[in-house]
Amino acid sequence: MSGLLRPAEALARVPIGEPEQTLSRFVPMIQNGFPQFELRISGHEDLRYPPESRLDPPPAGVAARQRPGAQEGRE
Amino acid sequence: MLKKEGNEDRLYAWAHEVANGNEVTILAPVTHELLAGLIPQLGDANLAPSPSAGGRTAFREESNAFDFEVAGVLPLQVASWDSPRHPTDALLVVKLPGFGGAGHGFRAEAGIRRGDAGLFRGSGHPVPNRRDGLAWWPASNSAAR
Repeated sequence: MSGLLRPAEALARVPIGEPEQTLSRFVPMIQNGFPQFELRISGHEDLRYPPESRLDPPPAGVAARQRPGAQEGRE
Repeated sequence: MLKKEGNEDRLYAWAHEVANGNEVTILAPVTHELLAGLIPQLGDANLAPSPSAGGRTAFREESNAFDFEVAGVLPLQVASWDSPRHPTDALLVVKLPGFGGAGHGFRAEAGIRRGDAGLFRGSGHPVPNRRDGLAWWPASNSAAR
């Protein structure tokens, strides 16, 4: 299930530029594997998909558990 | 990842990345349909106790006497969004087609590999499959019909 990890890495590393263009590129890519999803980008930009999403970053303890093989339900 | 929605724990796939001052979080619900469709026609997958069974299956109807169903069970620990220190034990249940119904050898082989961690083990001896040319025959009789 790299269908979420790779877009997340790309979105974090590449300057977002125009938010609408960014979403138009990445949303179909993610929807290809996960028809329903929520996205939150914070930091330089604050971007949400869908716009009404109230997704927040994971609690610190959850984020700390992220490691190869331990994310995207692969544990 | 289990996350509470109201009174229910729901299963999500997720990714979280921090780089260059950006923090990206993606959360996607994992449904039975999504699990069943990960590798089309390989197997019918579900995670117990969540998500609930139901909906479409990845299998077509049994077509001959060797087209029976084999179940593999893989224990997993699923992280909790709300209680990071307390992961939840869960079972990934994969129902695989029998060898008479396998579309090709890889499906049966995948069943053996999953079975190694679960309910049945294969011998690895290739035997002809009436339609596919190559399949793998189970050595043990623990594959339930």
